[in-house]
Parts: sequence; C-alpha cells; structure tokens
Amino acid sequence: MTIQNILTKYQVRQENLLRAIKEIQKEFGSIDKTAIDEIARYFKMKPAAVFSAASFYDQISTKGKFNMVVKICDGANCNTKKSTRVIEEIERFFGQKIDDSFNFKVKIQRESCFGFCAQGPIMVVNDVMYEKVTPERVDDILRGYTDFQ
Amino acid sequence: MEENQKVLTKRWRKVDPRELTSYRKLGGYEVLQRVLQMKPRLIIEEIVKSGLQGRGGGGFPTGKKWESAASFESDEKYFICNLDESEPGTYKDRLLAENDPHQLIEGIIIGSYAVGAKKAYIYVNGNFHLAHFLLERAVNQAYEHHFLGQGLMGSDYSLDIEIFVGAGAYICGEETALINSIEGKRGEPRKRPPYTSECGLFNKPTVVNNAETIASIPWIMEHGGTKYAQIGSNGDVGTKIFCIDGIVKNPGAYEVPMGTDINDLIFKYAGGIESGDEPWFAQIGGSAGQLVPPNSFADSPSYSRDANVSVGSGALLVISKNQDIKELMLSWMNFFQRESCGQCVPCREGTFRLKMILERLKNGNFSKEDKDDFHKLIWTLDNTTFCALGKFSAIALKDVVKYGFCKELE
Repeated sequence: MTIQNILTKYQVRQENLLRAIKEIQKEFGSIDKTAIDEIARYFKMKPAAVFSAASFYDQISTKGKFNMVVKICDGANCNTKKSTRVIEEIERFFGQKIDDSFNFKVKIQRESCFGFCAQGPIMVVNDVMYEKVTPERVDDILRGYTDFQ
Repeated sequence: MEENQKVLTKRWRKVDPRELTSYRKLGGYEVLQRVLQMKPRLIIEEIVKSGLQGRGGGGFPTGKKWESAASFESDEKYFICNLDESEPGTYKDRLLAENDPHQLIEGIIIGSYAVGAKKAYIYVNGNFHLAHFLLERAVNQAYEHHFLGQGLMGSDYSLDIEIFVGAGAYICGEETALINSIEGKRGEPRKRPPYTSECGLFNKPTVVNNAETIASIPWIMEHGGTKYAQIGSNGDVGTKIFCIDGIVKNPGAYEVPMGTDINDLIFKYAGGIESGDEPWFAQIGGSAGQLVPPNSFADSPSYSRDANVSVGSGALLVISKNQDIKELMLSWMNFFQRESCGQCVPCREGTFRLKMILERLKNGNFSKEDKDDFHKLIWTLDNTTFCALGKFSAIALKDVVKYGFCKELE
C-alpha cells in the first residue's frame, strides 16, 4: 500500500483530511515530510496547513515512527489509584523517562483519560489495553513485548 | 413520578446493541414515525417545555439552541453529536454508545429534522473503539431499514449521518474546536460571536449537542416535555448519568434524577465508602471540576448558576484522606498543560509554569517566589484565557487553597 493508494480512497473534501492522515499514520506509523507533501498535493492545500493540522493531534506522530508505544493514563482518577507508582516502574523497566522523545525505539507517553476509569489504572501497549495495572504487574506485561530491543 | 425513572439507560442490558431489530422490539423508532409528521416548530416547543439542558457540562438549554439554529435560513444546516468526551473520570457517552447506539441515532434524526439539517455527524473519541464499531454498524443498519437516507420512513425528509473519529485532543470536545477538527484544521476554539447556530460547520448554521442530551430526546418526544420536566427536584429537571469513582464500594455509572445530593450518590448508588477509608473531599465534573468537602455532601449538583455545587460533566471522584494532594495537583496540571491547544499565551504558558511549580512543590524545593507566582498564575488563568479550558484548569487549585488542603500554599 502506498500513500497514493490510500489518498485516492478519499474524495477531496475538507472533512476527509484528518481521516486520510489517520489512515496513513496507521499504515506507516508516522506522517513524515514526503507524506505531508503528497497529502497537500492531493487535497490542494499548502504543506504547512497539512502539517499544522497533523501535528496538533496526540494520535498522529510527525516526529518519526516508534517501534513500541506505551501509554499510561495519569488522569485524576488513575492518579488516585497509584498510577504514579506504575509510571515509575515503567521508567525503571526501560531505563527511560516518561515523555522523553529522544529514543525512537520506545515512546512512553502520559495519556489524559481513556474513559475506563472504574478499571484504572489503564496502560495501553501498542493498542492493547491493560486494566487495573499494579506496579508488580508492569514487568510481566512488558516482558511479553520484544520490539524495543 | 416514580423514584427510579430511567430515561437514558432503560434498555441497557436488555437490548442487543448490535441489532436494530432488537431495538425495535423494545419500542425503538416508534416515536420517530410520529415525530416526522409533526411540524419542526412543535418539536422544538416540546423540547423547550421539557427544560432539557446540555449534558456536556455547560447546561445551555437545548430547546433554545435548536430554536436559534432553526431561525436561520440556509440551504445547508448541520447537526453534530458530540461524543468526544475526554474529561478525566467521565465515560457516560461511551456507555450510551456501547449499550444503546440506536437510541442516539433516533435522537439525532429527531434533532436534525427539528432544526432542518440534512447532514449529521457523530464525532467519536479516537480511543472508543467499541463505541465506534457499534455506531458504524448501527448507522449502516439504519440505512438498510430506511431510517436514514433519501425520504426516510416514507416521509419527504432526507438525512445522512457520517461518523468522524477524533485523534486524541481534549479541546475538541469544545464545540467550535470540534468543528475546526472536522474541517481538517487544528482543533482550536473559534472566537464567538458568530455563534455556531448561525455560522458553524463550513460556515453554515450548526447544532452541536452532547450525546447524553441527544439520548434524552426520544424519551421526551414519546412521553412529552411536561412529563420530563416533572423528573428531578431542587430546580433541575430530567435524569443524568453520574460516573462515580474513587474510594466507593461500587464504582460505575448510575442514572439518577437531577437534584440527587452527593450523599445519596455515594451511599445509595455507589454502595458507600470502602471500609477502613475516610473521604477527604470529592471532585465533581472531572479535572475541570470543583472540590467539595464532606460537610457539603448534602448539596445536590445543579446546572443553576447560583448553586453551591455545579454538575459539570457528571463525574464524581471521592478522594481518600490518605491521598497525596501534591501528586494529585500535579496530575491535574499535567493534564491541562498537555491538552492546552496553545492558541493563547496565558493558557499555554500559564499551565506550563504552574506544572513546573507543582513539580518543585512535590519534590520539596518550593520557594517563596514560587508561592507568589502560583497565586498570580491562578488569577491569570481564571481571568484572561481565550476559552474555558484555561479557566477550568484553575478551579480545583483555587479550591485547594480555599479549603486549606495544602499547607505550603497558604
């Protein structure tokens, strides 16, 4: 699947821009400069306008592709359920601070709220959601993934 | 009026959310047939009579919003269902979509017909995969059964519904930011006026309603606005879903009549406080909500401006005496700093500086200057930001100071 293949599925209408960006992100893992230029040409927009929209949203990466993305909810509800301890444990596991974007292998990201508060703390690893995560479970869960090595 | 009147959740766990036929068996889409023979003006009158207020948090009268959008002449109008809920602690809209998606679709059709919209959008939070799947299925089935599309249900009215999935931005729950997001722009709020009812999506008259508001519509049209207005007490009408969490025995979502006080929410619905724990305070309305100490638990959350406790999004978080307040304050500010859209300086820089100050407070190197700056920043956020997000970010911190929950800040 190329970027063009994806783009031609969409009519050139304003409300299709974010949809196309999301699908390209899903297929390629990020929206890079080539993608921005191709999207801009297709939607007859300025590349800056496409970048400005794409870079706004949390679920779209304009900073490169990560092998593994670990998201942990630190909203008030999960915080009262000790999400801070879980974050510390994740940081220790990877030897990397949360929200540090210099490592392209793993991204550990604070999230606002997934809307599953009664089952918190919530952790999402590569789109798989884990509920009621305790600091003790972090090691077991993350050891199942090897893409970051 | 019976005690446990259910408006929004009456079909939950009885209806199969995957099947339109199951919804029809339980009386779904019946009222729609009748509504499509009514004059739009009369539908709006019925909603005005019901006193229904926007359930997203603002509490703006729904009838007034519709009246305003209907009053503008335009070849195109839009109706948007706001299902981008991302207020921490709130997940009522997700449950509405997951348990009874056709109720939302029926509400959207009635609303669109009333204001004269031929196109409707459902803006779904990008994290709600199941809700998105079920809504898409429900929309497709509604087309197959001619509840949507050209000349729906044999009338001369046509409506299309499109689902739009968000990409992770709290601010897109604000109606003008949501509209910008659909238009393929950054999800930044717009300046008002002009209001969306005159100049909204693609600069056409637009109604943006919260999903819970829309889910109340079919019931109101079936039983009448007067009957809806009789539910509730203390000046607030209808029912509302509260998401109760924290140190309660049964955390979860409960539909309650408006006017129910906090004590009842905790003890009657959520099973009381967990044994061995004691509540310090409660936060109502998510991270943007105010704090309520236990001696005010007899107050009921209300949409009225003069009320002691406002409803907000309908989240209730009961916080334990053992909670580290510095950690919680940092979590609130982390959230607002991350979700600030960056359009206006006081919010973008204010939330960032407050976060740094709260980090120092947590790590124990909080200086006298930090304390002065803290109060100045709170004032700035409260009074000078472009949209409500900046103002909201200061509410809980102001209450921490007001009730003396953190010694260092006094």
